[in-house]
Amino acid sequence: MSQTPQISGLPNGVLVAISGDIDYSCSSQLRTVIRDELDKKPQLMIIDLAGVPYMDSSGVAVLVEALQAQTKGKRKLAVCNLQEKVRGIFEIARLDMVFKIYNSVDEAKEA
Amino acid sequence: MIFDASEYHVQLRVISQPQYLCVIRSAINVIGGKCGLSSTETDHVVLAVDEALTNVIRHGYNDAPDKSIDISIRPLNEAAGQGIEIVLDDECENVQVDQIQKRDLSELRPGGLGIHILYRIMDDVQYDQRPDMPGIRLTMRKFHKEPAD
Repeated sequence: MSQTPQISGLPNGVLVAISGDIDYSCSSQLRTVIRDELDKKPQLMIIDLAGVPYMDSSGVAVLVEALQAQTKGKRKLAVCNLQEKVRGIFEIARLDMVFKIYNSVDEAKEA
Repeated sequence: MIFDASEYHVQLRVISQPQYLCVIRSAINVIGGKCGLSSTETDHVVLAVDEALTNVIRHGYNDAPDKSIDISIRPLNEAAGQGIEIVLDDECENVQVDQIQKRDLSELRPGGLGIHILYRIMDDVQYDQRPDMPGIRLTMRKFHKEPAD
């Protein structure tokens, strides 16, 4: 990641905006940030990937953990603004049917 | 398969620190096109190599930051078409070839995606014990395919 994820409050949850490549060099840092937000039990967590040109499976694993935590607590997680390469790994890992993927933050807010 | 280093056009050595994964990604991104792959195919090969290197760093070297991984790359021009061959040599002493397995994707869990991704992307994937020293040799091939009409 090129910088720490930006956290913004939503009326019913939290928006996490990430920027930069996500690989094994930074996925544990991302995991820490997202777990801190999950601990607050937001009804909706939106992860905005507009600033992420590349993600490997260590980044995907962080998102899967977040989805599992939210689902277990009967809360929602949405991801949005996937760039082409990031959408590619979701498809290769067959996760595009598992996550709720939106084209914009505004669409995701309606999740 | 006999490995002859002189056949490989590009040879890189990277230390086992994840901060350098981006360097190898950049190199593969350039070389893929020179081997006749499309930009999408190149993107996929970049991901496959990234996943393979991460597996070595994480599972083979247990995140030790002072090990090395050798990467050898050559273009392919065979009956199967144009493509790229990438060989990764590590010095892992604690991994046997038969321990390396992809997992079933029907179960939703965070780990174990890397090997699956590698097999889905590449046309050939072969793991061997290195004959001359402890470690694993991973040989991967990807051929260019014309998009279907």
